[in-house]
Amino acid sequence: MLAIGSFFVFITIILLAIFANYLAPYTPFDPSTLNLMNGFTPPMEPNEFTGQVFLMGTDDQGRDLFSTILYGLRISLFVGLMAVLLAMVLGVILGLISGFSGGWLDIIIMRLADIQMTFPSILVAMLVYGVARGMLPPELRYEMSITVLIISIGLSEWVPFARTVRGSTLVEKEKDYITSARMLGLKRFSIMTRHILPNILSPVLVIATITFALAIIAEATLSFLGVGVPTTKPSLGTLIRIGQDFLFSGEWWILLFPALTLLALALSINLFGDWLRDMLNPKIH
Amino acid sequence: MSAPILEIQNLSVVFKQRRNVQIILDKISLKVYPGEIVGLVGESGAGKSMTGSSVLGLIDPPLLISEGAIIFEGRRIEKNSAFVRGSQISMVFQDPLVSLNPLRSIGDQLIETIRTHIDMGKVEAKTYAKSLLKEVGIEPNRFYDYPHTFSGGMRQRVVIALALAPKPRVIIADEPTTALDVSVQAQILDLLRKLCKERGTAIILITHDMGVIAETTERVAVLNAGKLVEMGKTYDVLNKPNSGYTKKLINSTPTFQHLTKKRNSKPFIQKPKKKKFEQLEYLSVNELTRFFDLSDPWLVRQITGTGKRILKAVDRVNFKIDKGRTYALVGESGSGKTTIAQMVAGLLRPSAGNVKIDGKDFTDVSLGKEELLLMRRAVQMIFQSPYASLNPRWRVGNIIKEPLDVLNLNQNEETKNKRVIELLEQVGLSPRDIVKFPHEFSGGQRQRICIARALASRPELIICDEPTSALDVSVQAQVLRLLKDLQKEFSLTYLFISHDLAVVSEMADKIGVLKEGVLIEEATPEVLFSSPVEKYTKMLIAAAPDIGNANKIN
Repeated sequence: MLAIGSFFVFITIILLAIFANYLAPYTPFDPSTLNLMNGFTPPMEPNEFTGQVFLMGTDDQGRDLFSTILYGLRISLFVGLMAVLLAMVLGVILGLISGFSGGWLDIIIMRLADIQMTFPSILVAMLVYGVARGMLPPELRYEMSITVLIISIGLSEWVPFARTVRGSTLVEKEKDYITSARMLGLKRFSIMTRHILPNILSPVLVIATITFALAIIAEATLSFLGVGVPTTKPSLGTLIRIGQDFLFSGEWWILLFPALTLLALALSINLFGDWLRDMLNPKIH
Repeated sequence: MSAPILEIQNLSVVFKQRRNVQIILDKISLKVYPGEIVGLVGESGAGKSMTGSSVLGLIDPPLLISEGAIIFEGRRIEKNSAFVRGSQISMVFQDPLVSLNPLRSIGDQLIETIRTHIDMGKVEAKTYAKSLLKEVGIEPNRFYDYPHTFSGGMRQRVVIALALAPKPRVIIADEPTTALDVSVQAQILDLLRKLCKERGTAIILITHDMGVIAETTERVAVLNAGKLVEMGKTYDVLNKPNSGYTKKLINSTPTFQHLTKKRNSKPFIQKPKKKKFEQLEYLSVNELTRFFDLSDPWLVRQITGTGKRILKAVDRVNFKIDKGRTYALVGESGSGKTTIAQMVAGLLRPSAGNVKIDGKDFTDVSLGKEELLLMRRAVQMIFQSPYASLNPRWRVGNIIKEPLDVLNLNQNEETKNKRVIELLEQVGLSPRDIVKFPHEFSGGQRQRICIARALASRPELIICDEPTSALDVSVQAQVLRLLKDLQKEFSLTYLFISHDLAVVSEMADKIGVLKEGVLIEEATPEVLFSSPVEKYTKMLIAAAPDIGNANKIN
């Protein structure tokens, strides 16, 4: 039940993000449509100057919050998805090599993972982000900010993938079907990709869903701290940061609605991931 | 005859989940008298273990006892009568490694068990525990040792001591020797028989092994698919079986008794008359040696002052196989059988010596790509567990086709597919099975898929590493027969590796006995079983339970 519910919520959020340009009443990223007079309009109340009504109110710039959340979701989901894909590809490759080759390569990769795990992943992400921004020429920083964000989050989340894949690989490579493939003289690369990889994917999928939620939260955290996406293209984290400035002056909606959206998104992905883990675990059946 | 100590009356167990109801046990009735060993025998899924669990009250939903009763000493025992279960009736499990707590010394575990069941002081319990250890043949000075310091057989002795602690009237032993080597198995079975005689304890021995039944039990119950098929004196059941199922089971069980000339029984596979064709030597293994370095890293060795530890897994082994013949390697675990197989298969490099296939040195490092490819086509392997030797995510067609792809055989796709279908038919499967996944097949069928895959490249030598030890006897008989037929058809050469002397006696033209990496004896089955030379070989033959030995104890 919980799984179906969370899945429904998750799908709804995704659809909202995909069809944002049809569903959103305003285009918040286009400065020419903004009217500063609309700033701080409470939800479902007409603005005292323009008389316009906004579903979730507006922020300090007069942006419609509902539209901004829809477009912000796009950025959050995109960054999260790409970061997970990066972490997954990196983790699976390193884990496979580590587990299958063993020896010094295994030691190097796993100790690297251990070292990285001693730092909180958000710190790693900030570090990568800072270094990358510093290396980029100033004129590219603005355009590349989302790419940099994806890389920094992706690099901070590969360890769980690598460790799980390594563990499963160690188990699988001892099985006789691998011996049988080795007897045919198959190359190590073929054994890894054709034989081992399909058999270790189910835990990877579970970790991917959970990491997806983590990556979205990491993006929100970075944006909240002001090192993420630029304020002109606000993601959920940016909106929350803007909102917390006005929390004590009575404009609660600017914080509340993006925060609730983020909560619903992360929670539904996590519950879905739990369900997926149970589904893919033959022992529970 | 005295009154039965334990009586199972019309016991039925069902598996019930929502609307799905399956009958697991169907009206089983069984009487057990004091001081006797009753065997419960059957193939996997027959309900043997379920019967044992029902007696101990270990049946939990979705399983439930739908009818019948268990009567102990004339009283019906209910679901949770802890008094009877665990103290009057105790249990010995298959795997002694799992049934002992690794974090506590065996003495501690014994004392705890004793004191939960018997009202005893600590000192008294300790004396009693030591006497129990002595009874099962463990030195009392090992009282404070931990389970990992014991060997498999010794651990099983500890488990038996634990089972004996509450002075039970009935012991249920569920495959107590299946995980053990034959020589150790013989000791444990002896111990069970001795306890039975001395203490008057009744034992229900659950096993799949007809040989164990023949040598240990007085009466036997044969189970098949949850039904009691036959029950009677072991000797009578084995020699004059009434039901067709029992007959089939007995006929499927390999035996070497006819070779020891003690008893006349026919082997279930008739050996083909040896044709007088020229003997061509196909495989020769010369001075094959493999060491494993088990020493600690260099730095640790310097600090602790220990030397290198080298395990001689295989030590200067020589043997030859003629074309179209079967050579069997037998030995207990750790004797180096599998290491030799891996070296012959080219999976492991020998430390010294070589393997020559059709005159060419397979172990030569300088072999070119083309030559290696030819070798790989010629040598294939069948593995022990058909559950682990097929990639679970691949369709059967692709599994069988893989050697054709990798070894550059049959260039075009159409001939490859034809070949796959031909192979499936050769091993007795249907062409429709191409699209199925391995988990849709039973163990025996999976082993057939493995054989089809091994045959794909038209090999000349097939290494069979315990090919049937994971299978039920009737399936084992079918697979062995298939291997024999294929050998005749394609004049295949087999290197057959097994711990089971009876299987080996049916299959091999020549047998080599391995002990700790050394080939100590080599002879044809006829010679080996009737007049073994080495003491170790004699011990192995004496220890191996054989279905033909039922007359020995009765």
